Amino acid sequence: MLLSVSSVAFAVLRFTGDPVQMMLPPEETTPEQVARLRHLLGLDKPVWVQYADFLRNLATGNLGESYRYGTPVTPLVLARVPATLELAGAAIAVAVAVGIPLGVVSAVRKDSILDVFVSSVSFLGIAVPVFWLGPVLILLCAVRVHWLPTSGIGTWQQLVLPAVSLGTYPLAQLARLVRSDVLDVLSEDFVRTARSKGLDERAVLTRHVLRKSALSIITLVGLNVGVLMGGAIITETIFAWPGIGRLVVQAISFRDFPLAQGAVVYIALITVMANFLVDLSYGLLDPRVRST
Amino acid sequence: MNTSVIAVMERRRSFILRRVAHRFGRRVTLRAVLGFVLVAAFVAAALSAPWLAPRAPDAQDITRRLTPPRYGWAGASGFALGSDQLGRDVLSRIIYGARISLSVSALATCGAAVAGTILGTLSGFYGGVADQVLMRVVDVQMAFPYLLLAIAFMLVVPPSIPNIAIVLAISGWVVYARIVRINTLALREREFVAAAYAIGARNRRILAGHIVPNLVPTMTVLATTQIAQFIVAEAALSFLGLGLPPGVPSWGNLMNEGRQYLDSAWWLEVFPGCAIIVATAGVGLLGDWLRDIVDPHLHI
Repeated sequence: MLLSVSSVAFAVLRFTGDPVQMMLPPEETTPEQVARLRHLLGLDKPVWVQYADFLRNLATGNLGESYRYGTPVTPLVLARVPATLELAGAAIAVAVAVGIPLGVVSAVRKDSILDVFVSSVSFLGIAVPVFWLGPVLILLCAVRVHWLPTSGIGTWQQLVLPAVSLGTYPLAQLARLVRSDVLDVLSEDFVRTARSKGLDERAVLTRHVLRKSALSIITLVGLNVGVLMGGAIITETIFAWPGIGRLVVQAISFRDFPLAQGAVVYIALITVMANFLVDLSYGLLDPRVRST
Repeated sequence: MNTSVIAVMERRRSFILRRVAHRFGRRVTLRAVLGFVLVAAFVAAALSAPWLAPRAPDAQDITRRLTPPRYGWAGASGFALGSDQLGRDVLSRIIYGARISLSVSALATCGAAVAGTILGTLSGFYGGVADQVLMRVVDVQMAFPYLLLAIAFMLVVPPSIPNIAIVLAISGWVVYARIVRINTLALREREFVAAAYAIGARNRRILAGHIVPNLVPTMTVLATTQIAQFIVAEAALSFLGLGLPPGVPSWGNLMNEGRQYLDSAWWLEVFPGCAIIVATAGVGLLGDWLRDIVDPHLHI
């Protein structure tokens, strides 16, 4: 799986242009200098030899050296991973902490004003692109009133706006999913049983209804990891968040092949691992899955 | 010919049509009407931009740069949605932007739908090694954030409307391939396909006459969802500076330029974004409605 992902990354990036031309301005360099740099970077070898080198290095965990920084790729990428995980984690936290209660409330009070309001908000949340929400949030919360900083990383205040921008889409999706799920489950026999034995409504909801829809919630969160990683590229650019998404954009525009490849491999790795965790958690949440 | 075979064939003919017609009749909701109105406005703006726009999209009036919006339709004096850093009318640029947005997303969706459907149908129908290979490719591409793929491709090709459409189609065809393949697998086992075999139909005839027509409703729903996705993706590429050249009034470019004036001229950023939201929300409402009619359990 990872092998194919990294091969695709290799192939796509090879087509994106000549890094030597980016590094040396053509007016000031001689053909000899260009040839020497090519040899130094291993770009004078045939493509399949480059690919074999890339794979051999990958197998030993070596992703090569960045053309731009001249240092090994792996530490450069790894240094950026925590920032992205922090951003994505905060976004998921926002989505779960707000989306699930909204969905439950609008299902329990179906067709009330509140339900209509939540449904409209969650619909808008899906339609609003992150590259609009981000700047507008900056405008409202940082330019007009100076509540929160516009960009940067380090303090919790700086995390709020990026996390809200990135988390809004999964939040809206979660609210919709939880609403329809809870509506389905509320009419099931075991809910009637729970109510008839005198459980109060809160216990019915948390212990019986939400437990049943936990599986689809987890699935949705897992499916969203890929979307989050894509959204993180834009969010990190808007908020100058030093994560792996911003690294990819910068590396690609500098034709820094090894760095971009490394970052792409790690993004794919994060996505695959998140989906693996989702699969594992099925077993924890649903005893019926464990046996199979 | 055996009469029961004929009966099954007849049933096949009306299988999908009857289901869809039945549900169309009673399910015209308020949301559907709203979606239809928004989409109609979007398409109308795109088609009749030269007549609708109060000014030419690139007409500059440098003495009145960054004029805030003033209410009332833009007459001799004002800009309905403000003017940009070169004194160009934001409203006119947004109306012209609808053309770019609509053509890119429609072209890309057609490309993705055709490619994904052909590959998905053949793969599901014939199976074998090609099917295995195709599904591996689909799995790998699903692991990639598709925006990342589009970004990488956009660095190779010169930015133009057809090229962006092709790049988006390449990033988006897997959705069709996956769902079409599963549906083909299910359709292949249905009795009307067995009946067609029984009267001696060849594979090609069965594919064209029996499998593909039954895939159309699902594909329509997928396509509607994807148009909305592609409108956003095209704008996202422009926003990252990888879309159409700067100066072309695509919605993403308008937002990318407007971002630099966020603290002084909010209308440059806010209104193009509203256009994107209106277009995607309209398409989304229509798509939800179509999905409820065609297949309420379809997960995309």
